[in-house]
Amino acid sequence: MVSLALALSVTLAALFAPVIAPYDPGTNDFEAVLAPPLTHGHFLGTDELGRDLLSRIIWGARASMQAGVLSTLLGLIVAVPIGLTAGYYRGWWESVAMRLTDTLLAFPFLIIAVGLAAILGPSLVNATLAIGIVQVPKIVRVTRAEALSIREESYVEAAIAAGASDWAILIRHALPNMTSTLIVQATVILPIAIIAESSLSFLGLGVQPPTPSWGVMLTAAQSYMTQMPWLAILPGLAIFVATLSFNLVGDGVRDAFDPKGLR
Amino acid sequence: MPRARLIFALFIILLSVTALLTRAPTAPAQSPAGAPQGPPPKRGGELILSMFEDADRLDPTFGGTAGGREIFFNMCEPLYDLSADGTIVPRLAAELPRFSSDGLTVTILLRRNVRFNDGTPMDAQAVKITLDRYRTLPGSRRASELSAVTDVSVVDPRTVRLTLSRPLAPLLATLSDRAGMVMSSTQLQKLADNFADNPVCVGPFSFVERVIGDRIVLERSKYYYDANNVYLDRVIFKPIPDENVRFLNLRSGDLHIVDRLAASDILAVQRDPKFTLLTVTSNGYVPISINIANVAGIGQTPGRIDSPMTDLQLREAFELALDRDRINRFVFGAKQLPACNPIAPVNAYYPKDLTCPGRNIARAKELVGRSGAPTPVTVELTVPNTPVMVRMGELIQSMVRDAGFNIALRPIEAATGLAANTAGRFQMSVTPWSGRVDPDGNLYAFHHSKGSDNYGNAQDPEIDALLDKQRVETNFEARKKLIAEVIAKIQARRNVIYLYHQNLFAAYSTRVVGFQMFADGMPRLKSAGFAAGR
Repeated sequence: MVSLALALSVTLAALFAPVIAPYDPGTNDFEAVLAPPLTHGHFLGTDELGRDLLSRIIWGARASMQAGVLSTLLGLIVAVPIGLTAGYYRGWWESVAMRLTDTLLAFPFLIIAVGLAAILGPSLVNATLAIGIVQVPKIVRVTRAEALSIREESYVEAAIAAGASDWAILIRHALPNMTSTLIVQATVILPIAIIAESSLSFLGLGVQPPTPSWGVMLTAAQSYMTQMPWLAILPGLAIFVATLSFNLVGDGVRDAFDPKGLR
Repeated sequence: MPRARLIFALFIILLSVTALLTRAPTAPAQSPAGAPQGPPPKRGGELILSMFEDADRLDPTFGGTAGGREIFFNMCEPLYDLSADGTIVPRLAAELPRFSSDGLTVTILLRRNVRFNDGTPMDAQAVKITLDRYRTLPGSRRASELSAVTDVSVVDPRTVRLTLSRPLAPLLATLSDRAGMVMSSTQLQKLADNFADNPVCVGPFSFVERVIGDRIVLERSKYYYDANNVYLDRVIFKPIPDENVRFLNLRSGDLHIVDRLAASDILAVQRDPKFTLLTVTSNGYVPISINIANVAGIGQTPGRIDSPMTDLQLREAFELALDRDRINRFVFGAKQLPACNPIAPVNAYYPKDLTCPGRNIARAKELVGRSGAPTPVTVELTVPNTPVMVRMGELIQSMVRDAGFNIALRPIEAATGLAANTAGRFQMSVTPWSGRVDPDGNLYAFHHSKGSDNYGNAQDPEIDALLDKQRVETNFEARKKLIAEVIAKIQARRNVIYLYHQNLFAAYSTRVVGFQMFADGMPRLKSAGFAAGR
């Protein structure tokens, strides 16, 4: 429950950042530069340019959630049809899809991200794209495995006998029966995507200043690590809390869908 | 829920601990600067130092980065050089140059028995070949510096004579930098345009290898004329653009010297007895160059570019939205010198009477409105991809937003940025310059229509005429007046908006002695070494 509450808090912070955040994340308070936490008017203090840390952390949730949710959706939209048809039809299409998947898996995530940033320029959209692309082969594999299993099920055989078309079988029978697996997969991918977004922004390949992001905040905090450690600890804590809570929620969802657990 | 309360309590404890970790700064002792310090070094050893930016081509003909100069000054000595007290002294030359009474002929007597690092003799013929290459090779960045030199002739093996089309006041300073670095004729013949692959000059160290982005290795030259006073066996320069990473490498012992220290790390260095801090007031500065008409590269025909900043009113509005003192305070801990001209206060030519426009948002907004440009005025600002420069970019972004500008920051690696600026692929760009002793070195190349670093391709016959005139004026007061006139015109044109003059901070292990860095900000390792008995 705690993890669900935390995950909900992060989601709500991302959705309602303009309402919740006490300040605009780009507003400078030059009278309170590098103010420590618990300073009057700045609960979590301010950064090196006098910007309110609490506001930036709340707004940073937006970048993380945007990258997390959109890249997961992107991965699902691209990978599910490939995995589904590869597992159902098999043959040459399965071979091609699986070899492409192997090829994509051979590329380290950062290579893809750096390549995209070099071609398209660093931005949150391109970072989301890179994170989504990296998730595709993993989802393809899971979907194909599910499709392989489902095609042998008796209700599929019955549908074929009843004269249902391939598309009808895939959309009406196979896809609904793998939904729980895909939901679990999505909850696993989401925290990975949050960390990936922070990593890319930390490296300057994701969110660009002055848009707040936990990764960008960590980059800026490097210069003050020894003297003002809260500048790094607070966004680090935000990443930790978001990742852990979504991971635990993912575990809960998996348990909820686990047929063994239902028995 | 007890677990939730526990997490909340832990969070508050963590916050309190971090708050307690804040310490009030104490006044630290200042370290001496410039001259060799401590006991004489022992012989031998490998010294590793950082470069704040990677070098571009290791050929003084084409070199345009301060990173490259850091290397050159340790393996390519110039004819003349800067000394610790800021004066120019002979280096490969035997004495200061002799000027004819009309200032049109300059005679340079060379030092005896000097050999290049490949063992071949450095003579007048080699100087002629080098200077002719600088003057005439297409793409040479030294061409505009030596544009007044019409002929280089060999008088005898030790004497070179330069013929000038007009007197050239900054010639001595010019020959104290890359334009005075003599290259091995044998190596030039062998490698021609690929000289940068294995550069050979005269210097305390010779080139061994370069792995781009990782290291440049030099070793003690056995042919150097003063080899007995060189202590180190080997020197490794490591390009590390991130000042935090540089400092962490110094702390971990992976670096012996950090060439540029971030203002935020100064206190930590001063508190740590393992390190020495070196402070240098340099001739360098940091400006924002604005692309006005560079469509196809510096030196090409100016054209119309797609940028709102071609409008002078918007350039003025942009400058009026800046607060240089705040930039200095919040980005550099008040360690730099806010400025709006390219001549440093340490320079005799510093125009004391010129004042900087202060921040005036009302006027800036008025100018933006009058320009008719749609608001917000969206402009891209390229900044070197170091944390401190990005931070400065963010502050500028925030300041000018008040006047109606929307700045898109584009952090970029130094050499790539230089290439983009040269080719005209920018709208506005932060273009730090390490500075020259003679004001011409900070002006001509950047503001003359034919200047080799006129990134924005700004054209103004009046400014050109003044720049040409100050070059031939040999009377100090008259020249100072001309330079002040040029600066006033540049300030009005606003093709370059100056932000601050650089105070440079280097930090090094107390094991290292004899390390020098002068007003040009270049580390000099000839006399450096490791302290005996450590």
